[in-house]
Amino acid sequence: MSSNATATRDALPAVEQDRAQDAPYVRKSSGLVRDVPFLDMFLMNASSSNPVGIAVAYGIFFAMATFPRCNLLLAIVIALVLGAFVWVTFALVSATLPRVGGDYLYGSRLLHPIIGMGSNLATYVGSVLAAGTAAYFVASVAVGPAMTIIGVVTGNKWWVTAGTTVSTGWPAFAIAGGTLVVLSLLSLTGTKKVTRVMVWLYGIAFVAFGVSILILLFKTRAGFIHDVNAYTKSITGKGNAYQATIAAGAKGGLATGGGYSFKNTMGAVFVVLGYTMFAFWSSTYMAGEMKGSGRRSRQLGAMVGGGAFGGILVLVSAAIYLHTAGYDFVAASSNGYYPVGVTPFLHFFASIAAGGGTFLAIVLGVAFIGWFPVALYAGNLNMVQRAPFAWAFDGLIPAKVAAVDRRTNTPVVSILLACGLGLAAAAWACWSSKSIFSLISTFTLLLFVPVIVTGVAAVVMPWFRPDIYRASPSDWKIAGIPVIVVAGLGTVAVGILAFVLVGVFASNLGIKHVALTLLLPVIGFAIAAVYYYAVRAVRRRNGVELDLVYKTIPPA
Amino acid sequence: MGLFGRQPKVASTRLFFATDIHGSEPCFRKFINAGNFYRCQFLILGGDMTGKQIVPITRHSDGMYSCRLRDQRFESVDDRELVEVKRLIRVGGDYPVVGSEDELAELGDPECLERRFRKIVYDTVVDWVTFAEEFLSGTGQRVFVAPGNDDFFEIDRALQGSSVVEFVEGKAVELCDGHAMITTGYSNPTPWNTERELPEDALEQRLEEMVSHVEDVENLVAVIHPPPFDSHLDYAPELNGELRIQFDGMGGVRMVPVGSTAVRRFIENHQPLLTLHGHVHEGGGRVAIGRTQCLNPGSEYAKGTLVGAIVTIADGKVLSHQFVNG
Repeated sequence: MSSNATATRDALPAVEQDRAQDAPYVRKSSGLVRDVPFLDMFLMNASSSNPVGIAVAYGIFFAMATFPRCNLLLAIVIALVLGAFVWVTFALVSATLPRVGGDYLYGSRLLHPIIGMGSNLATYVGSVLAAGTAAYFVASVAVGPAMTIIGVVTGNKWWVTAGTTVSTGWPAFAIAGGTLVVLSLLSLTGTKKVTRVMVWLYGIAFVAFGVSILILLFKTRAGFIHDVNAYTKSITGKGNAYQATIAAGAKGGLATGGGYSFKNTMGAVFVVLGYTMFAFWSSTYMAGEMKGSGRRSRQLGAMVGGGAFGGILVLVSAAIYLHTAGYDFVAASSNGYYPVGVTPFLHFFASIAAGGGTFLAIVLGVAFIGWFPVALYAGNLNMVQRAPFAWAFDGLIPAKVAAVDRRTNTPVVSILLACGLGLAAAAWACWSSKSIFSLISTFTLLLFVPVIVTGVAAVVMPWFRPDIYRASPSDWKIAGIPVIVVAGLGTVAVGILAFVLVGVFASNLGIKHVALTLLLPVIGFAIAAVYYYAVRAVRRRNGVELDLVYKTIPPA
Repeated sequence: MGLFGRQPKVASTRLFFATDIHGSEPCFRKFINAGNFYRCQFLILGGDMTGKQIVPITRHSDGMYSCRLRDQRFESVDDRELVEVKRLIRVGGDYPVVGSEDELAELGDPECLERRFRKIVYDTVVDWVTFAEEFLSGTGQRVFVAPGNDDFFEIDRALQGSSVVEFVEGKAVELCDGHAMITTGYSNPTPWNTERELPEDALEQRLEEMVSHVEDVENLVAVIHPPPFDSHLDYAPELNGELRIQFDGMGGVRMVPVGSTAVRRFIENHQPLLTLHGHVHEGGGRVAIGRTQCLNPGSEYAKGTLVGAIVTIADGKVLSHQFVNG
């Protein structure tokens, strides 16, 4: 007996944490479960989508390389404050519409189906590009530098050469594509297996990252300089690598020793936002089951607290790194003036600061690789695999795209589609590595489209859908002011700020076609409009009125 | 029918199916209006129509009221505002009970709470049936209702004898030309040991008994509250012995099939045209088991959102189905 299914699991929450088994005045009835422990919810939100190690190591490298003399710590603080609006908005809106679908659901139900589609198209394309870039980073930022580190600390030139070789072109694509294929095959075998692998990788990478930061915390600046000079001398034969790196940077145009540039600090805000703000992402797309119609305080504590915890961890770690290594040295090494090419350096410098032990350097370098499959899968690929559920449920795409295999309970076609698109994006990243910052900026910008749309949806919810608003945890006022409206306005402002920053700093970010980049969302909405009306016409022929999906039925 | 298929021009029957509204008043009122809004001749409510929680509203000596509704705390509520508070409580399917502190204290006694529950649930269903009769009388729309596993047996009395609402639990009835319908709200055993549960073999017997009265099983519409086992319409969070949700880590809730093996065997053996299910709110979707189209629209009753399926059948086929939530 064969069976096939569409848009099934995770679609709606039955678990009722607000009517929990241990709540008073409930009767014996199905669906009542005990509250999920707050710590569980918090840790899941804190860990599931914020690869702290990448945010600190690569985020600093990215910001320093593109925005000289930025005040990185101030940029992180600003990004955290701005991110708070976004986290609160998504926490409240997702608690109000607790179903898988994310911004598609919010936009289509609270604004217009075309807006929901256009927004989700941007999310989908942005996540595909992010997944491809993360896959490329497995080769160029994780495996390649790890091999280089092994070569440097063991004195084996083959490893050093191999580390450089695998970071670009076909070798990089082989690693990136291989990672994508392996993760997709794991996804096909079931969520449980791929999740277990992610947990292990995250755990290993997090412990190694913690060790790196602790080493730097207990190291003085003088001690760090001594260790870097001594260790680098054993490789290059020159004993003043620390000072020489800074001097080379200054000669290359990097201002040193002076104050900070506020303008470039704002540019760095865009970079930091891209690494810290999207901590809610998997909470929206992956942890749909967790949202339920739970209590607002728990929801906010878990989502906002989880995001803030990750952000503060980034802030503290960055402060320790910059304090110990020194701003000018980090900036110069990020711009390629340190003689050993082991981007993004943090864990390598940490191993040097710990005495330059071969074993530790290799362990930290290899463990750092663990962040990237997590960022690739939990942060991006998972969303791309799941987005078609909501589209198929509403009848926008053929049901077979979201069909779930009975044995493994996984959406086979959707996973294969995500893998194929991810491979194309990875190829783009591998062969345009010189403009990688441009690619990162472009997909980050696309991911601000759903932020703006969800912000608008939050602002209008009390007036457009008072029925939903009044019955939800979002109906929350402080001093008579609806919190969701304030948070939504802030979120829209954050999204618009991101577009402004990309426009202003296009040259720093390596964006050549500024107008086209900024207009990408408009093109997306136009495509969504054409597609929606075409599908609506086709579906009408087979007796389905697509508009009804998005209409609210008035009570009798 | 596929996305690009064309619906043949034959006389068809358009029905609307919703389920698991769990006491939500706006959901029930939307259901009653669904025939007009979605242009359906037949409305089917698939079970679990009653709520799960009482919300006490304390009447204070100064004539003001106060209560707590999930996150919201309502203080110094006057008579006019009380109407709105009660409405909000009913949106989520809860039942407001007003009383002084002393009167409400008796709800702490489990037996008293049970008595109050049964009475308020019964009274509410009586009100709903009366409302449906007033609204739908003379429209020609037929409304079929069966209780679900969560519904007290007392409500059967309230649903029987209505001129508009047809009580179809355990019955085989003529739905429309050529299409019979059987209905049951009984489920396989749950961790909550609810009112209408049967062991799998007894549930299968109940289904077999009903289908024995049907001549043309190929055109049968079967409304069976629990979905078939391991059909993807029945995936729910795994619970431990303390009814806590189990996780895989990284935000992943461990999902397991909780449907009925009896229902699955029934569908595999008889291959009816269409089966309509509920029970597992997070299992919304469609599945084909052989030639049988199985639908579970899911439920979002807690926000007053009515989730349902519009299904068009004709000539021994399911011509189209569409999930809606409004």
